[in-house]
Amino acid sequence: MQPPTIDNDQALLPLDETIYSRDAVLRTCYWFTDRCYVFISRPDKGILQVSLRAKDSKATLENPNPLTIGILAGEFQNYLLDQQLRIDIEQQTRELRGLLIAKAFSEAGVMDDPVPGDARDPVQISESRQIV
Amino acid sequence: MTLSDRTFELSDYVYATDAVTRAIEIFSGHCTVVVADVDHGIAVTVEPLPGAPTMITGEFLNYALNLSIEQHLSEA
Repeated sequence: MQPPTIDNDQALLPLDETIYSRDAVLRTCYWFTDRCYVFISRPDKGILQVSLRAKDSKATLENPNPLTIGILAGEFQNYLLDQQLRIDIEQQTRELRGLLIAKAFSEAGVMDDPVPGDARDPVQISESRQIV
Repeated sequence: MTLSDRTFELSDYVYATDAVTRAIEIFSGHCTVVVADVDHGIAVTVEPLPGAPTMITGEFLNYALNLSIEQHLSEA
C-alpha cells in the first residue's frame, strides 16, 4: 500500500485491488462514514482511490482533541487490512464452515424429514377433537 | 478529483446508479445535482442551495456511497 497523501484536511489513499478487494474497501468505507466524508474514485482499472476528510476536525468543548486526518487515515488502513483478512479467512474456511454447520444441524435433528402421520396415540387425537 | 471539487465522477464499479438517484431525491431540499453520463459511470455536479450546511456535498456523497455499499453487499 502506498502511503496516504495528506493535503490540508484531506487524505488520499490509492489502493491496489490485487491486494485489497472491492468488498474490503467498501466495508471499510461504510464503517468510516460516521467520522469522515468519503469519496471513492477509480482512476485506473485495478486501482481504487479513497478520499477522506474528517467531519470533526476542529476542537470543541465536547471534543477538545479531535483526531487528525493523519490518524484517521492510519486507522482506515488498519481497518482495511482487518477486513481483507476476514474475507480471506472466510474464503479459505468456507468448506469447513459448511461441514460444521451441516454436522451441527444433523445432530440437532432439524434436518430430518418429519415422521409421516400423527405421533400422538389415537385416544389423545380423539380427545383433542372432542374439545374443539 | 477530491472532496474539494464540485463535480465527481462516480464509477459504476462502486456507486450504484439507482442509489445515486435515491440520494439526489433525498437531498433535493439542500442541493441541486446535475447528472451526466461518462465512461463507466456518471458525473454529478453538486450545487448547494442557499442556506444549505457547508458540508452538504460530503453528506450527499456519503449517503450515495452508503446506499451503494448496502446494495453491493446484499447482492454478494
